[in-house]
Parts: sequence; structure tokens; C-alpha cells
Amino acid sequence: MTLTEELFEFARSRGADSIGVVSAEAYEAKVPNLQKPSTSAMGMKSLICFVKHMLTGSFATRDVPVQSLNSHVCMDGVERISMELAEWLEKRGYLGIPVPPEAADMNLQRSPAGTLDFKWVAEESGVGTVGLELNLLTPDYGPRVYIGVVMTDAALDSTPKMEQHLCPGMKCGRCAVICPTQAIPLRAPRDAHITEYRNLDKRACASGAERIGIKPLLLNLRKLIFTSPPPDPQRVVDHVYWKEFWQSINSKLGAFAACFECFYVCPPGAKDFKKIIRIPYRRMDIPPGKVGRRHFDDMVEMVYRGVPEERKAVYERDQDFGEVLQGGKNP
Amino acid sequence: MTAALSREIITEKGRELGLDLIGFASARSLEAKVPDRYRPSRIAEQMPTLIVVAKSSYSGFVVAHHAATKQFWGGRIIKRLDETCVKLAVFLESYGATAFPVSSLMVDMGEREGLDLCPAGQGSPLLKAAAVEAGLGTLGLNLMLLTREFGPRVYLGGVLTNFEVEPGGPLTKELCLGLEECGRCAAVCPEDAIPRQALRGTPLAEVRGLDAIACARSSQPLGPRRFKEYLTQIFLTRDRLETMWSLIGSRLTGAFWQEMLMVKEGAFTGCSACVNVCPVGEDYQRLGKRGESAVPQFAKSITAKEVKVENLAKHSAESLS
Repeated sequence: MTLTEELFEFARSRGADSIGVVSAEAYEAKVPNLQKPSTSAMGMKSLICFVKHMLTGSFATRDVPVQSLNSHVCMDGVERISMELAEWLEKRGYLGIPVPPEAADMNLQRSPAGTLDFKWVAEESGVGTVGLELNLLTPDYGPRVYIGVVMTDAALDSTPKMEQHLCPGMKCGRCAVICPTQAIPLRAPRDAHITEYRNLDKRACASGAERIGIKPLLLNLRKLIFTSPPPDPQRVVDHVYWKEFWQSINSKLGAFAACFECFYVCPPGAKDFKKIIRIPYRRMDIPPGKVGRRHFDDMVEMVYRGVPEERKAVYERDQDFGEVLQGGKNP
Repeated sequence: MTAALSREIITEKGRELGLDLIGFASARSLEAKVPDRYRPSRIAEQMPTLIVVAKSSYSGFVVAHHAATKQFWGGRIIKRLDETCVKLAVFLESYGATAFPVSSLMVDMGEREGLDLCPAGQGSPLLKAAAVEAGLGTLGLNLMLLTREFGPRVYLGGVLTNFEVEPGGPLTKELCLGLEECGRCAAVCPEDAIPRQALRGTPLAEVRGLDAIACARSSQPLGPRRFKEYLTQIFLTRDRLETMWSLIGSRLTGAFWQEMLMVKEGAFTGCSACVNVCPVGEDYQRLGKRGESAVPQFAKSITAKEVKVENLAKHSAESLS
């Protein structure tokens, strides 16, 4: 058994669903920005990438905080496996550097960013392919996974990239038509390849996926500071927002991984998607045959649907203090 | 079942749980050796034994130069160490003993504002004292615990228990080479917080020290003291709303948010410059030339006796940033 095979076996035994390797040098050469191995350390030879899936059962709940908790538990698992892989390598005399999966370097680029962009490492190492909405899609669990990366100076055997993209792009587009913040491309040139138009408006996405995160906090504070006449301080501090914010800091609930709309509807996932759409209300998020398209001479455009009516209010965080600021009733 | 429990059984269990070092200290003897606020009896009475444990960091971090990566995982190692201590305590209780974990991060957040976790968030003064008493290592020039196996590249945890164990004894020889023989930690400290001057021949015990306030500027860049400064700045602008908003709307607010939400235990592990260059530890010897990449001036010699102990912070900041 080679070192790579032994490592893969160990990773699977510790809970990784799939795993791949890309040469650090080859990856470095492809990255146009600072999200590359040499930003963290010199002399690394391999990037080990793995994914761990979210429990399929968590998609049966309508309670977003419960789903969010499942995400964070899954991420804890990714961190644990990352540490165990690094320890495994170091016991064999190699260096191991796990890469933080969820903390950004605030000063790396113009906007905060991770030292590696994991989805691209995953695509280059053949763990999956990056979809229309820039989520990593995997054969077994579609986008419903979290990614871990460990760098090492061990020269491991690289695994090949997938030959076929898993995302059908505009032929599917379910993620784009349901996205509550319209962060995913709804149109593309006819016959263009997925790699030419996949994209995400990250700011828009964050307003849904990080509903009680830093952006909504600043949005709310700005409104509270500049509203004239100033709102009643007691009503401001009594607002439910601060309790939710406290909870988000304490347990991450709502701080991020708080929107799963594109996860619910993404069809790739041999091991989980059929189970998910057996759940009646998940099936009806986008009833079969309900993605509309307009075809132009040189463009295809999908008809935006948005999330089901009962979930719309969840994503309207700019309305948090609306009634307090208008002198109305505090919700 | 208590009768069946022994040092050996506890040590074996600790190793099985992934702990790298395990020692035993008498809580009673620690009473006089730590500041009043850290006396074991203030945590609990009737607990004669403090089991002090250590988990090593990764050798990869000696080579890595991205401080935030090391900070993040330092915090996660501490978190995992706490979880492991819970498992060890559960194990002790399964034998009929009573036990509970003493977190590495359990320090005075009032008067001392977290400064007692300097440098590098290695562990509280109680756990460091316990580790010395138990013979896990000795204190270095920068007041970190240095161990034979991993130098200062360990984080400390503990379990207080009513199970009486024969305590270990302190090592008889200092592991730290001291200012005259080494002094690398002092030379690279970006805050110049570690002693760089001493009279020739002064014993290490009289030289070692740390300017914790200076150290915290790097090791706790978004820690409690910095948070207090930030809030003070904001409150002082309460009559100038645009200025207040420029502070609140800055990236610093996002950085604090991330620190509290995700970095968590890593709030105290923001700088490991002194940790990376310490030549003590079998792990460092195994690294050989790879370990010297953190600070190029030290590339020629692992013991670095010829290094002039002057502050290299400027260079170190460049190479470690």
C-alpha cells in the first residue's frame, strides 16, 4: 500500500466521505491571487482535500437553526479530521499544516478571504466540480458537504480531476431560480459551458446565508445610529434581534450557514438527493417541470421563482428594526 | 472501584485519548506556588491531585509563516484538549473517583484581562506551575513551559480529582539554554517583551520574565484588552456620529466578530514567534533545517550560540507575517 493509499484509508476511517490530492506546485501555478499554498508556508508538496457530508435527515427539518446546527457539527467534524490527518502525517515524519476551513484572513485581499479557496482545491483534486452557484458539487452528496484541506511536505500521488462537470448549469438552474437573494446567475450565453458563467454575488448571498452575521449587524447599527429622531433606547435593546445575535455569537446559529435553499434543490447526489425530494415540502420547493426559461438569439434566461412564500420573511433582515424605527410596535 | 485506579492506568488512558504528556501534581503543594487567584483550593477543595496534561502543536507550524492559520489551530488544539480532559475526567469517575477538567483558558479576565495566558496561550499560571511540579518541563526565558519532547510547542490542560496519586517531581536541570547561550525567543519577539539583557552569569531563574502587556499586543491581537480599547474609542465619539460610524463600520468590527465567533480559543494564540524558534525539544531536532526556515538568521545553527541577542523583531515580523 502506498503512503497515499494508507492516508486515504485513514481519512475514510475517521469520517471523510471522499478524498483527493493535488500537487501544491501545480495548484499554486493556477491561482491568480493570494489564495495559494505559499501564502501559508513554503516547501509544501501536496494539498489533501476531503469532504464530509451533512446528515441527510437535517434537510427534513423546516427549522433553519436546526439545519444550521447540523452544518456547524459537520464543520466540527471537518476540523477534527483535518487535525487528525496532520497528526497522522507528522507521526510519519512529514509536516502537516491543516488549513482553517471557516476563518478568513481579514487582510489577505481587498475583502476577507481564506488562505486557500477550498472549492477550487477540491475541483483540482477530483473530489467534485464547482457548480453554477460556486458550491462544490460531489457525486454522492451534491453540494451538501463541507470541505477540509491539509497541506504537507509529503509528495503524495495526485488524483485526477473529474472529466465531466456534475452541474448541468443552465439546463437545470434550480439553485438560481430559488435563491432568496438572487445571488446566482439567471442568464448565460446560449451553448456556453458552465465554466464560463458560473458565479455568485457573494454580498447578496451573505445577506441570506449570514442572516445574523456581521453584514446585517452593521446594517442595523447604521440605521440605529443615523435615524432621526433617535429611537427609544429601551425598545432597541429589548428587540429580539439582540437575543438572536447573542445566540449567533454563542453557537454560530444564524451567523453563517443559515440559508440552504440552493442545497435543497440541487439534483446531484447519488446518496442523498432522492431521499431529500421524497420529503413532500422539499419536492414542492420547485414542483417538477416548473423551472421556466426564456430563449433569446444569443442568451438563455431562467424565470426567477424565489423561495416559497412562507420562508420569504426569514431572509428580510433589513427589516429587523423597522417597527422600532418607525415608532411602531416592537416585534 | 477506586482501588484499581493508578497512575499507570490514568497515563495509559490519557495516551489512548491522544494526549502527548501526562503528569501528576499535588494540589496542596501548588497552593503556595501560584498567585492567590489561581490556588487550586479556590476552584475546589477536597481535590488533592491535579493531573496536568499537554497536547503538542504541529511541527508544520514551525515552518508555516501565516500567523492567522497558526492562531486558528492553536485555539482548536486547546478546544480539543478541553474535550479530552472531559473524557479523562469521565474515565476517572467511572472508577468511582470525582474529577473535573480545569481549562487552559480559565484565567483572570478581571484585573489581569487575560494577560496570564501570555505568551502564546500555552496555559494558565496554575497549569504551568503544575506542569513544572509534575516534571513535565521547566520554565523558559519567556516564562513558557519547555518540555523535553516538544519544547514550548505544547498546550496545557488539567483535571482536578479526589484520587490521590504520588505526585511527580520537578526536573533538576533547566531545559532553557538561557539568554547567554540562546536567547532566540527574545531576539525575535515582535513586541520586545522577553528579557534581552542580564548580567553575565545570572541564573535563568533570575532573568526570565515577560512584559505581558507588550506580548498581548501580538499574541492577543483582538483579545480582551484590545476589545476594551475599541469600545472606549467608540464611546468617546458618541457626540460625533460620523466618526462613531467610521469606527463601527470598519473592518476591525468584522475582525472582532470573527474572533469571537470562529477563532474563539485562538484569541490567545495570535503570535507564536518565540515558540517557532525555540531549539529545545526532540521535535525541533527532528525538524533539522526545515525548522530554521522560520527565521533565516538562525539557519546556520540549531543551538545558535553565536546569535547576538539583539531584537530582530523587524525582520521577524517580515518573515512571520
